This record gives sequence, C-alpha cells and structure tokens, in this order.
Amino acid sequence: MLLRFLRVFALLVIVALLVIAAPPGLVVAQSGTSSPEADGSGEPNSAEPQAGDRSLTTRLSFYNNGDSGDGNPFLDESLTVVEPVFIFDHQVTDAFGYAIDIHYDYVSSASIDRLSDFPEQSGASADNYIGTKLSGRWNLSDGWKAGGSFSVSGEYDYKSIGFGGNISRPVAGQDATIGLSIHGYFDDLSIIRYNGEQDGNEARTSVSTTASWYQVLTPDLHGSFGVTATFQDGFLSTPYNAVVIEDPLAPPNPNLDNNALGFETAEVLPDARVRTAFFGRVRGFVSTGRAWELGGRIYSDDWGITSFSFEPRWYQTVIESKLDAMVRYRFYSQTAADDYGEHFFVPEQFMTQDSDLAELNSNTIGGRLIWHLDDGDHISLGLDHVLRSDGLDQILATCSWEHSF
Amino acid sequence: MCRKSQVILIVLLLLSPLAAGCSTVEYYEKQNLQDAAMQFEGDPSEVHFQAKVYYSMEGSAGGIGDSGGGGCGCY
Repeated sequence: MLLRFLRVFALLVIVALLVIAAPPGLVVAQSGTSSPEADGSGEPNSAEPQAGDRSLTTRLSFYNNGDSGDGNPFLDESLTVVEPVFIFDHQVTDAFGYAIDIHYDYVSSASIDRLSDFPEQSGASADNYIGTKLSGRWNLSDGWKAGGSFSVSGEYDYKSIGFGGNISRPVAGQDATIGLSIHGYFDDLSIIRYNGEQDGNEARTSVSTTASWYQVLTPDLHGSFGVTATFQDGFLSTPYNAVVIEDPLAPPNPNLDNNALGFETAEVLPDARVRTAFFGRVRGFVSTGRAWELGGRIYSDDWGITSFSFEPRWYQTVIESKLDAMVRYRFYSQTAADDYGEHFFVPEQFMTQDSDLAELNSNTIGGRLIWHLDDGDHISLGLDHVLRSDGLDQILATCSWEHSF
Repeated sequence: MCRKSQVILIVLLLLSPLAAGCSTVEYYEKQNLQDAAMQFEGDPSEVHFQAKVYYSMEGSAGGIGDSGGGGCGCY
C-alpha cells in the first residue's frame, strides 16, 4: 500500500521536475490572458490583484439532509450544518499577498437524540468546529508563483494542524501552466464511541499531492487537468460510528431504529488508505457573457471505492456588469467499500455500515447568482439540491458578500 | 468492456483536449478567453464548503480544493 503511494508520488514528482527543470529558454511569461493563481492549480484568476488591494469576504453556508428511513436502516442519519466564514485578503505588494480564513461550523446531527441514552456521546452530537488558515502567495520571476499555508482546526473530539505549499510556472510555447502542490494534515482524535465510552487518543496523518496543468486549447477554449494522490495513515474509522450485529434471538434494542434485534459494536476500518483522483474541466466561449463548462473526476482507492463524477455548467451574464448566473448539474456514482455491509450477523475484522461508503449515485442540480455592486463589492447566492439513490437527499445553500477596500 | 478499460478510456477522453494545446494560440487571439464568463472561479470559501460536504458525504476525495483528505473530523 505504502509502495503504491510512493510510486504515484514519485511519478508526480518526476513529471513536475521534468517541467520545472526545463531549459530557461522554454520559460516565457504568458501574455494576453489572466495570470494563474498561486494556488498550484494553474488556473487563471479573473483579475490579478494589485498592490494595496484588500477584501473581506463573509459567507454563510447551510447544509441539511433528512432521513426518512433511508441509508443505514438502524440509525437516523439526518444532519444540519451552518457555517459562517470570514476571509481577509491583502495584496501587500505586486509580489506578495496573504489571506486569513476563519471558519466556524455548527453541526446538529441526529445522534443528538441518543444523548438521552448515552450522555457522553461524541462530538457528532451537536458539534462546534472552528478552523483558521493563514496563507501567503508570492509572484516570482519569469511567471513562477509560489504559495504556502498553515492551518489549525479543532472540534469537541478532534484537533488538526495542516501545512501546504505549491508552486506553478508557465510552459513556453504551450500556452500552459503547470503546478505542483502538497498538503499535509496531522490530526489528533479523542476516541469517543457511539455509547460514550472513551477509548484514548489516536493520530491520523493525511498527505496529498496534486499535479495540475492549465492549458489554452483554442482561442475559445481552455481547461485545467490534474491528478491528486493521497496517503492516509492512522485511525481512519469514524469514532462514533457503530455497526449493528443482528441476532434474531436477541431482545428488541431500544437504541436502534424500529427496535431492531441485535447489538451495536464499533466500526472498524483499515488504518491506511491510498486515494487517487484524476480530474479535469474545460470551458468554452459561446459569446460575450456566455460560456459552457464540462468537468469530471475519476477516483479510486484501496478500500475498494471507485467513483466517477460528471459536471456540466453554463455561465451567463444576465445584466451586463450587474448580474451573472451559473447553473450546474452533477452526476456522481461510487462503488461500495470492500468492508461495507448493510447487514452483519457476526463481527468481522473490518466492518462499516456508513452509508457514505455504500454503493450510491447522486444527481445534483444547482446554480449561483452574483450581483456586482457599484462600489466593486459582490453579493453571491448559491443553491444546490442533491438527490441520492439511498434517499439521503441534501440541500446546500450559500450566501456571501465580498467587500473590497 | 472491463472496469479497468472503462477507467482508462475515460481518462483518455478527459485528457484528449490537451492535444489541442500542441498548437500555440497567439496573444491577440485570446480576447474571448478574457471574458468574465470564461474565468475559472476561485472563491476559497465556497470551495472549502463544497469540498467538506462532498468529502464527508461521499466515499471519495480529491480534485476539489487543496485536500484529498484529512484536516476535518468528517473524513
């Protein structure tokens, strides 16, 4: 498993080095199009920030999924998340800028209902998450860009420190930008089981590296493509997740939906995971203020999950310089993890009944409206409705205001 | 067609537009690429939320935002 990750990682590094180490004569600054962001994605930004530019973005996001007996048949999986976000961005000089993000989540989950039975139940029962990230970006010579970030986040039963770095550069004669990024998260979890039992602390390490390629394809078409390889090691189960071992001879269990016959035990999943995702999107110009986009991702991991997503979008200026709109559709399909089972009758070495690791399809329909105010500020409204094959349908809504000063 | 062949085919389809990159587009031909509707958005707060929701409610990760996993109790 580790060898597989190292092979993927080595391949990414070799590809990046081949481009980064290309002869200087092949490196030219792009002209006639926006410069890429310094986030390693290589994708262009709509407007390159100028020295002295500052902005404050305030966003409120809302997520909800109900449970009318779908998904895991033994547990209520309804969930609501409210997330305010504040982002301060300052372009200090032409060559340097930084941003400070602060995220807060209020999470209300159905498992709060179980507090009456298990008062010490975990942070999944009405949780508060707070996270902050400091990131810097540098414009280097010959179109090279670099960035770095440091983040800290915490919850009731969880602490995380994250580091990130990225670099990108234009590729001569190719109308392209290549980028490489790496991010690591070092997490510490307090293991609080579904029944409130405390099981000490465990660590989890996640390292992701992404190689990306932005390419001008024709005068009316450009795209971005990439591959992300992730290696996770440590405690990868969800501490409060339980698996129901069914026993027809057992008395009705009042802690389970429908008083099912059986008993609960902790979810157990492997302590390492290698994940690989290929992704890309192309956007085409139709006419002034109108464009289409096709995006997609193919994912595979060594837990047995493979997934595919396909996402077409349409961008339209409704009122010139005032109102822009975007509509999107997303199809998503995944296979089940090897250790997923809807029913268990005997304990197994690895076992989960997490609906998110089951075979599922989803269809998302949504969009966004952006109002451009006279003073350069923006107000954005987004709404997505996710229809899942397991019935755990979801609503995502966001509202944000970007104030420049 | 076996699943491995399907994945390879889809990867090739995703990468096929890169072939067009072999011919350089001159700077004076890039006016349409500068249209507001052609800009890849990079709103970090929206990407953060989208990534967190998708990653926590689906079995896969990567390709959205800067993380392929970790940094959140939901992974």
